[in-house]
Amino acid sequence: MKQLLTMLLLMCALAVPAAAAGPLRVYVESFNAVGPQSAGDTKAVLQSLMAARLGGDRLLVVSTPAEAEVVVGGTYVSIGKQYNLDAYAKTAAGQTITRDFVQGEGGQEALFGAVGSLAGKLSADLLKQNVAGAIPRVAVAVPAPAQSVPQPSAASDIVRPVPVQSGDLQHAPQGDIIHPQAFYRGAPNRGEIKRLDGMFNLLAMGPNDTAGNRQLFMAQDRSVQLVREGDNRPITGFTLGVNEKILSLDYVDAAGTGTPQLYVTAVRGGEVASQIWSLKNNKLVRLADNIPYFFRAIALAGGPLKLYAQEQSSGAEQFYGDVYEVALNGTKLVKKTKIPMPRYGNLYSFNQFRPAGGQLLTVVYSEENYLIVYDADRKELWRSNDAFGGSELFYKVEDPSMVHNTGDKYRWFFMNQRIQVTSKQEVLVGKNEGFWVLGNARMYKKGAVYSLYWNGAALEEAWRTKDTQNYMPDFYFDEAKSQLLLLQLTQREDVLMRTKGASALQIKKVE
Amino acid sequence: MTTFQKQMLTIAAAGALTAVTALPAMAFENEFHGLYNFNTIFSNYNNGGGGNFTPPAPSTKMNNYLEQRVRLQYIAKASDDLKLVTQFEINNRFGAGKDANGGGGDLDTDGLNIVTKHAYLDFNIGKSFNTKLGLMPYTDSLKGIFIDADIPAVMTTTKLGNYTLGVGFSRYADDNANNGYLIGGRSTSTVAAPSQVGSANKDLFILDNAIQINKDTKVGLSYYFLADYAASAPTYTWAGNTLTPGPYGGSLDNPFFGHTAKQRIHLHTFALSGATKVAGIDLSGFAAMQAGDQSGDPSATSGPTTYNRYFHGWAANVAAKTNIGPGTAKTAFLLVSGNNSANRGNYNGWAATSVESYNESGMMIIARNTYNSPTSTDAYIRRDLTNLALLTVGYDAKLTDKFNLNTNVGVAWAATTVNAPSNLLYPASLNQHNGNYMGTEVNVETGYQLYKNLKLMAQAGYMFLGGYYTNSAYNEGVYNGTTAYKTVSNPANPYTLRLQARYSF
Repeated sequence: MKQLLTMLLLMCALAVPAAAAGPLRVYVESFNAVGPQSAGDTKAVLQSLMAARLGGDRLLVVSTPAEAEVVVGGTYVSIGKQYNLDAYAKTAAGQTITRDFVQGEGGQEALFGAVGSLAGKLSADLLKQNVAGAIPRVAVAVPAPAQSVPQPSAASDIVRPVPVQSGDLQHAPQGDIIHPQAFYRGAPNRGEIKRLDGMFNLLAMGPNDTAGNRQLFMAQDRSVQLVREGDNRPITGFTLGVNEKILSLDYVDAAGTGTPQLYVTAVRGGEVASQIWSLKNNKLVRLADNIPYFFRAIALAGGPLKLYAQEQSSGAEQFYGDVYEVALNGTKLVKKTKIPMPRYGNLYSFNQFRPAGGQLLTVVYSEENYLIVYDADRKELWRSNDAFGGSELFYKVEDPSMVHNTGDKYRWFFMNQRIQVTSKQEVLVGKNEGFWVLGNARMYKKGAVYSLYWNGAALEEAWRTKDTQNYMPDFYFDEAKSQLLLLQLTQREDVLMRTKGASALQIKKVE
Repeated sequence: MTTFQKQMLTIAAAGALTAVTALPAMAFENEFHGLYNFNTIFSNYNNGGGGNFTPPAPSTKMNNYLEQRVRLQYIAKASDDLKLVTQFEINNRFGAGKDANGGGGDLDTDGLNIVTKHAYLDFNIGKSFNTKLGLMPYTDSLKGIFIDADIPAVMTTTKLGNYTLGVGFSRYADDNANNGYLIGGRSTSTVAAPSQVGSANKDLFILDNAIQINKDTKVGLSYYFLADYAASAPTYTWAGNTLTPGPYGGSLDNPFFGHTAKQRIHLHTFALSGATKVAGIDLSGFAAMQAGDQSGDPSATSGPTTYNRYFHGWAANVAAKTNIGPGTAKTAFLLVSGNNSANRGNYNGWAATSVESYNESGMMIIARNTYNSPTSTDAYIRRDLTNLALLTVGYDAKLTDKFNLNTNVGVAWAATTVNAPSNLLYPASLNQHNGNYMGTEVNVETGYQLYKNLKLMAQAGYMFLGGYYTNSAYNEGVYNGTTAYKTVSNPANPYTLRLQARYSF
């Protein structure tokens, strides 16, 4: 019996330091918000931001006050253009540990920076107090090993794999889980483009307006609109003929004039008849028409965005010849560098990346949408076991010789998701999934964006977004702002119900 | 470290190792395609069958029936370079309980009516060489006017830069029951030798050369050798109907039908084809000629008897297509020679395999266009393409995102009037044949794309018959109690109206 008591005492003695040595468990409660800038969701935004910024190796943000050793809260006050954000940290028993504040000028957009610096101050103070022993540590039962594997937060849009540290499984600090969804959720006129009538297929970054707001080109089957982020009324746009269909949309300066042009790849009666437009004084002016080239702007290996082109062939193979970088000279296109394509490589299916210290690799979608990585000699190095990409956007080319074979006098050609490579050589691909994706009938139900990195032998997942509840026709990663723009089809066209369909743009912060 | 943590570490390490050593996937892919076509037909000549038809008598009543066709294609892709392609077909006519395809259109719809359309293996050997083995579709380089059929074949395709070489062999008849006369050089023997499988066949040898000169320009040189050692009945069966090959040249105009095993055929077809684009207009065309011979059989009642018969058929085509306004305008001209030979020693008509098409025409009545044979109904004035000059003009308009309106006009002449329908006002002994002008077809199709894969269509085709058919029919007879009188008349102008729903994926 004595031995048993001794053992229990020893276990208790060991358990307390073990718990105390762990990260400080912090709960961020809802903030107060005062002033005209404070909309209903500001409190939630502040809470979410602070939770994200406080994360670190020695601070663990927990989801309930009951688990917390420290509770953090604060107040946001905005008067005119000035704001004040202060925060406090108190123990679970209610004793104040520290207070900090930041002041500045600006609207709600200034909160991103303000919360970051406030969280930095608060973290430093808390850690200092912890070292000094001013914060009573609460012993908690050592979690069962099964619980030690952190689960991605249900609220997170970005799902990251569990990091493996020091050869052992570690509890992932909450701060590594990004909570960007609150930034734009249900906040009209502050970042989110509202529901847009119509089924949009394509997305291209336009120029920022004078106020610095992002503007986007968006295309339906045969119309293009320039839309300001946060607005649902087009600034300008144009519509193509009934016999035409838009396959891709890119805004890039291929003329080297400093003013980008809008390259619209379109088919007219099955033949590529692309167009070039210029944005002048918020009006789109057509520079050239009926160009027999597919266009695509690509930042190869995360480099500068350049325009590439390829010609159309006939029959089952739609891409003729090589992919060329092209430049616009007046209204004429000039071929520049040739980009040799590996198997399955075409203008719309490839990108390149250069792993640190390594050779330039090419990544392409195969016919079945597997990702294949080729070396500089176009030899296959690796291919994925999951299929990525997937688009419902298609065009048809009449071919009378097909009738006997299939009963359809058209050949169907489906476009695919873009492959984007960041300056950090992360490969970003979309992934649409659905049950009824059969032959030429495609109806995807959900989509996501995956970020993959080359581990030396394979592309490995760095992070991915949560699945959307809708088909995702296109996406774009705005690396400068570290934001992911997901175009979503929120409602499909229904002829019988006279519904034209609807789309929405979701913006996710990536950190 | 607890045991659990060790296990987790092991799993994580194994996962990392797997990621590093992942081999290229050999994913097995399933690919499905399909088609459902519903077709309601109102016509004075369509009756659910196929083949060449004679314009109906003036008193012919309108037929009305409903058909459907289902096609299911399954492709098993073992790898990037190997796949098995299969396609199956189900045809029904509502109310038809028992037809050649097994029925199923009657009460309770039971029927064994699924047929094989395609079953072939498709594989690559290296980057440039492809082989197809099995029951596969094949269309010649002549826009299908020689053969556009599903055939049992071995086809190879070699690509060397811009040059493509297609070499193939098809055996689409194996008439071992009649081959005894042919074995061992005893072709004149009247005593049948033991049969030998593989000697009395219809064998087609295919050689297609094509050079892609640039993006828009392609030229081709093809050679087809058809060796027909199989006896053929003077009629053939198509979609449940027994048909005579053609009313235009008597019952035996197609040389591949109605010949004995001894009347073997060697037919060589040479074709030069090309396509290019000039000023935004797609131009294409071909020229082809035939040579070869058919052995005589003294015991035969048709075709060559004492002496051999020689083939001299030819065909030519030119077509243009361009985008204008909201649609595509197109025009084409096809000339296939007719047999104007007055003796059994020569055959001057274009000899096709009997399953061919001329889809480019857009016709519904005059020439076979498989687009307008979406179900078992497959009758045309010239389903078997020969003895025809056809000029067509069409415009396919897309009126809105959903509506389309396609119109076609075709003017047809017979290349020769040697076998034109007789003017019945004259005694048959005078063999009085009519002129060349067969008539003009006008057809219209309007479609509504209800969903991305479902289209509703209404079609109408009408043919104004020309002098080729003057006085070639009888009115309905009048019976006066003792004698039936009938009066000579022009046949009725053929028409066909169709309502369709077409779902394809």
